[in-house]
Amino acid sequence: MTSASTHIPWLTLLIVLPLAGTLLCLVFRRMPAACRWLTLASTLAVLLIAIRLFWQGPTVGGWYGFEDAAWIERFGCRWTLAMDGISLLMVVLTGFLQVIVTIISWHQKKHAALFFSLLLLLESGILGVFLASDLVLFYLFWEMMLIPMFFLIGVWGHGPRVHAAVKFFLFTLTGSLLMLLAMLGLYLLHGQQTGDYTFALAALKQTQLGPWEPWLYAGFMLAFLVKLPVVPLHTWLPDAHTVAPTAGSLDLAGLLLKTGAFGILRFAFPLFPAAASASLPLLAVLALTGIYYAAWIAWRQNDIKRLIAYSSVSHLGVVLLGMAAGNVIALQGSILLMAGHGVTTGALFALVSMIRRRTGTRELDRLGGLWQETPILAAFFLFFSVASLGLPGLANFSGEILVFAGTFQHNPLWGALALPGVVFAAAYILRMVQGVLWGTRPPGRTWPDLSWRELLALVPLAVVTLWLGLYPDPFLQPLQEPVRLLVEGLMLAQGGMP
Amino acid sequence: MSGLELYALLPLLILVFGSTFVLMVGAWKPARRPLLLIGVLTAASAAIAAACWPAPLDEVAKMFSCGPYARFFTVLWSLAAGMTLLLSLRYGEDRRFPGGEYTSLVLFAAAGMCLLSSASSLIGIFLGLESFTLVLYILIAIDKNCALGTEAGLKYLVMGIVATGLLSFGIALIYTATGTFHLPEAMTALGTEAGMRPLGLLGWGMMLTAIGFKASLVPFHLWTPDVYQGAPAPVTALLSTGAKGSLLAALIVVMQGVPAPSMADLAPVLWVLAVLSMLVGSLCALRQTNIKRMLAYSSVVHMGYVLTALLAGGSAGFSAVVFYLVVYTVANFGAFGIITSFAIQGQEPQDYADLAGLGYHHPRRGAALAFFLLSLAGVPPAAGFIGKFGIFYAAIEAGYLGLALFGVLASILSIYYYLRPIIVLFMADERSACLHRGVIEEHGVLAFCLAATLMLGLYPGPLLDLAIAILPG
Repeated sequence: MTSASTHIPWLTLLIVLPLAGTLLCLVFRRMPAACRWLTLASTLAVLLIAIRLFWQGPTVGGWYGFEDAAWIERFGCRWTLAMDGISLLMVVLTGFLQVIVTIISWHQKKHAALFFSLLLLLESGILGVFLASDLVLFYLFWEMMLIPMFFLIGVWGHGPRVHAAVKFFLFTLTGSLLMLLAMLGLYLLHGQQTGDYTFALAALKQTQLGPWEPWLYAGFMLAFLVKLPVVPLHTWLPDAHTVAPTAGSLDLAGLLLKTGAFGILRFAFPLFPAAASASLPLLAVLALTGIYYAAWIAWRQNDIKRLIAYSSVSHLGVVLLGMAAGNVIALQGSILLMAGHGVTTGALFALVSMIRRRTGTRELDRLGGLWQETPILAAFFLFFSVASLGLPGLANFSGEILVFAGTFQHNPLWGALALPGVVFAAAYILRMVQGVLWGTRPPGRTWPDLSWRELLALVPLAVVTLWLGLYPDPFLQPLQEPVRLLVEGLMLAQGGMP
Repeated sequence: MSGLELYALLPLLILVFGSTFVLMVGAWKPARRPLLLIGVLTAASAAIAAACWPAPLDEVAKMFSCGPYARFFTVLWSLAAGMTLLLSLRYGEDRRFPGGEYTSLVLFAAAGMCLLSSASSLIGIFLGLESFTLVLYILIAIDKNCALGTEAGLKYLVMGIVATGLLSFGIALIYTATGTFHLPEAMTALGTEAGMRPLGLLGWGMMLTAIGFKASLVPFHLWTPDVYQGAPAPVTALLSTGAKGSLLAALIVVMQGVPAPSMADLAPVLWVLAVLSMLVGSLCALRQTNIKRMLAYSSVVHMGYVLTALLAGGSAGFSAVVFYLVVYTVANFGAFGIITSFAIQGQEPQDYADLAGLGYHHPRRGAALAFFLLSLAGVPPAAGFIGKFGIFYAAIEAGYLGLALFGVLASILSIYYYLRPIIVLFMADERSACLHRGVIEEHGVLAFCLAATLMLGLYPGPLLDLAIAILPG
């Protein structure tokens, strides 16, 4: 299963390239222009490698790449990177969104070099999370995402930024430290059973867990559910979003939340299939609560950035519902919705910052009349808003419809309970659209419409939104094999036929 | 004492004779900088001697071992002394330290630490411990014009005398119970001789109390913050790393000899000490607004972690302690080194308010300080993560899940107090004035600590293997 045909370690390159960019940005910290271009170059390089892997297609057994090297022999940790269809999709999403983030933050003035180096460090960590196939390596990258995000919120945020940054750090770290304990427990159990002390994901899947399984599963799930975030554990997210700079919000919503969902699919479900399948109803309850609670709160928001943050929680509730349904259609829908949500919500956050830069406010009751003032911006805003609420033909629809179809198949009651959530989404999104685009404009000078640089960021996002909505098949193809394996694992644990 | 034994003690002799030499020269030619540099050279040659020429004997005078374990710590504490002296070059000039005495005392302290880490008998432990604590009383209060420093020195002295009394009484009781000072035997005998066992255990209790004072375990930690705050920053660096680390290194040798029945008696006591240190230390650290006091309480917490691994025992636990001591030493030297390098005319920036916005005035050292603090907090990719990982691993393997959970709780709390200075450095609204640019020697020490912290975090394999290989017994 070595990297097909060539011997270039593409997966390692994916992680190392942004890291090299980070260091170079710090070296050239007196030249902001050089840092900008360096960042653009590294993010583009990552995107190109991701597209190349996508283009090349899978090798044996649905794998897109596999790399393995010695790391810490003493603990049985190895530098193991593996890319299946799910990670491929997430890596492509990461590469794409980071390029957009770079373009949007092009005129970053405050400590530009530090800003770009942190962006690249963050990208490296996220890619590592999506690729790592060794538990300790995964944990390393998981924590590596924390530090740059903490600084992005804390240094470049506005308002109570330090409060939000610390809250973000503490919530995530609490979850991940418990995951670390669970990892150690799993490692020791496996070692005692087989004599092979290793953190390799593939080997640990074979462990006989016995009575420990629910506890270890809970340790992993807590870390992932905080990141996702699921409703009682979500309070860090709106705070972080409200104060974060645009780039931070984009990465947070587009990528960081996905790492939580990804972790569930890559680690929690395959490692603990029995506990996972037993917990599916609980997950469904959490998901349904999230969908409605977050929608309700979103409806009452006056700050549009906060509104979109809560809409994220609601959407991720749908993603979690798809996982709780646990069949092929629903899981594929979940993953597709993750990509769709990343693109549309990312675009909405970018638009919010553009609106704020022009009007100086994000308050719904002070905004209005953008449709006449800045028609192109308004059109994009409308486009991504309706994409977010799940209009057929646009990104979120294809994912959501698959999730709902799968959920009805698994348990019609859950489906019936979840479906009205779409109406709720329509309600708060339309309230936002109405408040921003129509009505009377706030007094003051006129605003310019979108600049070419802003268009450069928004047009690719719009194209991908349409693509995901109209023809998601190329993105669904790579998901077939890994999702089938996941579902088989869950079914076997339930004692049913795969 | 035969020539072979003298040769086996070569690194120590280098330190001691170097110390005496500097003291003598300093009496006639009190030039501060050359004397400090001679001290650095002495420490470096002791480290090289310890690393390159293995001793021909296992043990000298049935008191000190010369095995690879002892040699490893000899290298570590010699380097620590060298770094202390390098950090003192400008700082000592500004505060008018007496060059000869200061250098000679630091070298002598290093010799004491090396002796303690290589002790293989109870007398060795006593000798080593006392020889460097005596020196530290003077070093802490070396600036006679500084009221805080004098207070700190006195505080350390009073606490130290109590601990010494307990230690010597404890050793006497163990000797009465077992009839030997030599370590493995004394510990083994403690498990078997039924009649005298209560006496021995009482001795153990007293020894533990003394160790608790010196290593600042809760509830014996009260001196720590004041002494850390009052002592000159380079001395604090040595005090927080070498003084505690060498004691814990000696404790490993002691614990290895403890037979199972005695261990069953000891374990609950150590368990409580570890949990208290982790929790009380964390809670106290939360409220600090002085970075040296915060690091003092954090060192209490770190001793709690180390005690956890010590209690877990086995090759996993003991090697985790060794690894952790190295990582902790490097990160602490980095943090105190940065405080030293910021000092203008001996005025260290201790309050968080003094650090406000320094991350932008001094980006490299600001980032380095953040990195050292994150390493102490155990966030990857800094080395502290691997250290903590090893400790939790050992604890779970040995069945101390509760301790591991308390460790996690303490780690979560610790994030908060380590983040506070980082927040002040980079996210404060107002900025304090620029501080000293630092000199080349200080930057050299910091670069070394930074490189070590990063390397041990990303590729810890070699040191982990070494830590296993050198364990005695």
